[in-house]
Amino acid sequence: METILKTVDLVKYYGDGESQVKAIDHTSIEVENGEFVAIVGRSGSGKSTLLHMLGGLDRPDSGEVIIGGKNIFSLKDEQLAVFRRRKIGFIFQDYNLIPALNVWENIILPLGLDGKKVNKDFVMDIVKNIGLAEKLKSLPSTLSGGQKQRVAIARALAFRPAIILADEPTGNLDSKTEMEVISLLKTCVSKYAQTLVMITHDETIAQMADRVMIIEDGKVVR
Amino acid sequence: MNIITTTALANLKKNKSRNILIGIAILLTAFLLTMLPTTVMGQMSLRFQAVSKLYSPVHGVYRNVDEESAAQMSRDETFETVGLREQAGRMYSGDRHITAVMMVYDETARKLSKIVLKEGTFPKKADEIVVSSGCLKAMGLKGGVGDRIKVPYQPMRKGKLLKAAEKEFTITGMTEDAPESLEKGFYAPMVSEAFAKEIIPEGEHTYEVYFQLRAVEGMVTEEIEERIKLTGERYGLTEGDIAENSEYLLANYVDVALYTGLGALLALIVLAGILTIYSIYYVSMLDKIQEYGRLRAIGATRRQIRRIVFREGFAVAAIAVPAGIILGLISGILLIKALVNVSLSSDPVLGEEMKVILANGEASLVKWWIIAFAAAVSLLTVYVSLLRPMHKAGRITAIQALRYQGGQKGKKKRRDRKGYDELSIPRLTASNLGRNKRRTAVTIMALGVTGVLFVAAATLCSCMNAEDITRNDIRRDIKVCIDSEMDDEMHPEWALSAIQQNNPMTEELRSKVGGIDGVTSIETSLLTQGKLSDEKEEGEKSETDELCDIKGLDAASMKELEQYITDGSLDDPSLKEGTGVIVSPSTMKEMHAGWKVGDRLFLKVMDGREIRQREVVLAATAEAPPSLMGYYAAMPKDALQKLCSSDITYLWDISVEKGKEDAAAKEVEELISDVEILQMETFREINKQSENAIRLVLLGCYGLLSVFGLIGILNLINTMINSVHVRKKELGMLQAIGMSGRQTVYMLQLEGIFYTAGTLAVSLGLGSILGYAAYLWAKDGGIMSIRVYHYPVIPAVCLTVIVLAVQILITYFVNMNFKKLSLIDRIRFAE
Repeated sequence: METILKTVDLVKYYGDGESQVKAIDHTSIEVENGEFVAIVGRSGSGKSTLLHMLGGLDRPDSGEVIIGGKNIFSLKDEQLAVFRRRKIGFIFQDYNLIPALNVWENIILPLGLDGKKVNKDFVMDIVKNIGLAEKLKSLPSTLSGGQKQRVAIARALAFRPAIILADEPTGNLDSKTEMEVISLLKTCVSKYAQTLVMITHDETIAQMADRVMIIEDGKVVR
Repeated sequence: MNIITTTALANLKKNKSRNILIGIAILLTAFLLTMLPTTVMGQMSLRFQAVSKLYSPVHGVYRNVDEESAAQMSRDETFETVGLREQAGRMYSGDRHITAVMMVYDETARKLSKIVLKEGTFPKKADEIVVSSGCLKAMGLKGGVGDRIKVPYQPMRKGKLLKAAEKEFTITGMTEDAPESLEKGFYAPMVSEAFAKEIIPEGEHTYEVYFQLRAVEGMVTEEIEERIKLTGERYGLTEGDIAENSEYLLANYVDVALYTGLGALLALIVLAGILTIYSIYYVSMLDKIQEYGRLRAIGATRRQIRRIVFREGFAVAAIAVPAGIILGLISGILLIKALVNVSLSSDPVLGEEMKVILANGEASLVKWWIIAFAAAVSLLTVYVSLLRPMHKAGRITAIQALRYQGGQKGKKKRRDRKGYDELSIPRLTASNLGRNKRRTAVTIMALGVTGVLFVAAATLCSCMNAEDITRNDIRRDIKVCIDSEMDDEMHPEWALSAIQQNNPMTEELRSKVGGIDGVTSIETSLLTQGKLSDEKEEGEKSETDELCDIKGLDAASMKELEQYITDGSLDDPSLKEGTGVIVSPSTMKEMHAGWKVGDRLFLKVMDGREIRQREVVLAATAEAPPSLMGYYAAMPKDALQKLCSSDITYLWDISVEKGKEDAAAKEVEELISDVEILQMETFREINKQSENAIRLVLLGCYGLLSVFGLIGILNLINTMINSVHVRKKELGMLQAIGMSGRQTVYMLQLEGIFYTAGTLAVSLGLGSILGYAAYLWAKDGGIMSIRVYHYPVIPAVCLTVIVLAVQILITYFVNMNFKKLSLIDRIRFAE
């Protein structure tokens, strides 16, 4: 299997002197194409920072993030934004849907930003998979938490990105919905042959992953 | 400090950017509330002090009052004081450009007129006189106090100048010459009542009555003016003979119109302040819901939440209000100084006096009541703006806050949205703007209101056109016309009837004028005196002093008149036949109420020594500038000439090539210099006077415009910043899923353009309509000679450019500010 994502000696410190926080401390990881990796760690261990670096949301102090053979931090901000919408799908804990847009529009938003024509069949296929075919015209404010997160998943999938990065996607959901959402995510990812990196607290969810990385004080310990 | 205040102050720091915005809004409100009244009241108190120093403390003057009425007025209980002034005669120099009116004052009039002698005493005996050195020089006389001078003079009798006589006077006193007297050759030597009695037979005296009314304390100027008018009418005086001393009245009594205007303006500022401050709170409240909810959850009562919001707001006001007041005072005083120094007063002496008062620091420009007023009203503005946010914050429950997801508002939740199949940045923008249509509309209207006022005020400004006012007097570049004088027994040849029999405006002179370099055309108008009536008058002779101007227009002028026709038509057959006359509607209203187009009338005209009468038809009415149609009636030139056998040529309107006006004017002046009864005026000279006349009004108007502009810009900035501030997280999220910086700016720009376009559409659309209405109102009321509508092109373009520039700048700064935050901060915002 080829390596789709890897970090090389990644460093990110906040503050300095006594109060310095080593959010990421010389971390090198590798994720293979099609893999489902769960990143587990305590609060403040640096897992969210790592995920943000992987997605190019934040720049490291030093080190590289290589996606598909390319160091993404060699890109300028504008190029990085384009790269992000084409190659990476994000799923956040608090959904981050655009309140003014309906379900369909939220899903196709990354395509719209790229000026791409929407492949309706493909997007409808995703929509059917996540079970929201009836709710396409609904506004986010009328959806339940689980429904919102499913919309966020569909949005992350719509561009067929190579990698999906999920930051505690089920943190705000009850346990029943949580399992539904994770299974759905897992199914979709494997169906569309995507790589999934997910941050979680939850041991049960971590167990569903192909591989679990444990992060402590900015270092991957396992 | 209790916990509520501590929390409020902590919030103050946390919501720094919002509070800076609100601070600016409050500061601007306090600034305008201080600056405007300081400037207006300061300017007025300077003016009033100058007026009180210079002007007679009289309420008004009645002119042409006969002896009997004057005596009655002295006994009339309506008046507190009555002083009499009379023109006994004029010193005779033979030079038309020197006027020295021999004035007689009774003691009261003299005191009221504040006449001060440089030296000596006032005249008592019939052969005593007070003169000025300028007057003596102009008359070719020499002397000082105690000297005897021989003065040739013409006695004045009921407005007519009689044959000159000579009298020896003793100079008892000397007065100072005002600069403009020297410039205009106008002097007013004083003679005694005894002298007037000697040369004017009893019963033929005509007085100017200076008076103060009784029991007017506490009255407003409008009431006093009304009383002056009614009392004058009771004595049978016409409107032209009644004059109120408006400067003095304004300075000493309350003028309702002035204070109403100022009050309205201040109310507008307060309203704009409330709108601005309230909208900032309203918008920022959306992302504070969770915070207040949390406070509620840990046990804060509604009252406490309200207090937190209130104290946070007032903490900002505590800094912004004093700062605004101080800035307002400083700029108000600077503005007063600037205004006084450019001396915009129509009366230069008054302007000078104001400078002196200002320089001596005699007027207190800082008024404590303005400061108190500005502080109270600013705080009230803040309080009113805070009421709803306080109430809203107090109502937030813990549950609401925890469930809050943003974007939801009100009870009626929208469930669905039709949406687009494909998305693009413009569509995304449209969705955002459509999210809260009411708010978007309210924002545009709030922004537009100041724009509407701006455009309306600008319309009035642009209609207040110096050139239009000038064109009332002069049609082309140079005007040469007859300068006749009636009723001078020494110079019967200056009377119009005499001039018509020996008219200096000959073909020869005309062709000489035509030959001057640069002169492109000379339009000739005829004019004689005459009167229209609806009854045939018996007898050929008539009192000449009740006659008005009848103007004869050439073909080109007739064509120009066409656009001003208000009734009837210039194609009326009577005009071709030479029997049609054209009258202005205002003349009809004032002098011939009830006449209508088509009426058969009798026209009486002066033809040399003869008066001719013929039947005419009222062919049309036209509201044209007096320089074109005259002040009374007009008819085609040939028709008017046919009525008269003498030469009634009166006026040449001379056009000159651009750039050669001054040289041509000089040559024309030389050509006519030896003809005493011709006078010349140039467009440039008159226009300069017109410009001076409207300068003050224009300045006030533009001051008003900038106030509106400032409020509008503040609102626009506030709206744009808020729309970004509130959606920081949303924008961060959009960027996380791949919106590039450029796309973000594009989206913000589109939003800005939408608000800008909406604001401009409302401002220019409604503003133009309101402006046109204001123009019609001003035209109808004859305000500032407004007659022609001019669209305020430059202000409209400025408004557009400024609004666009502000919008682009805001987008730029927002983006800069935005870049400072990392994407992560933005996504986490509000958590």
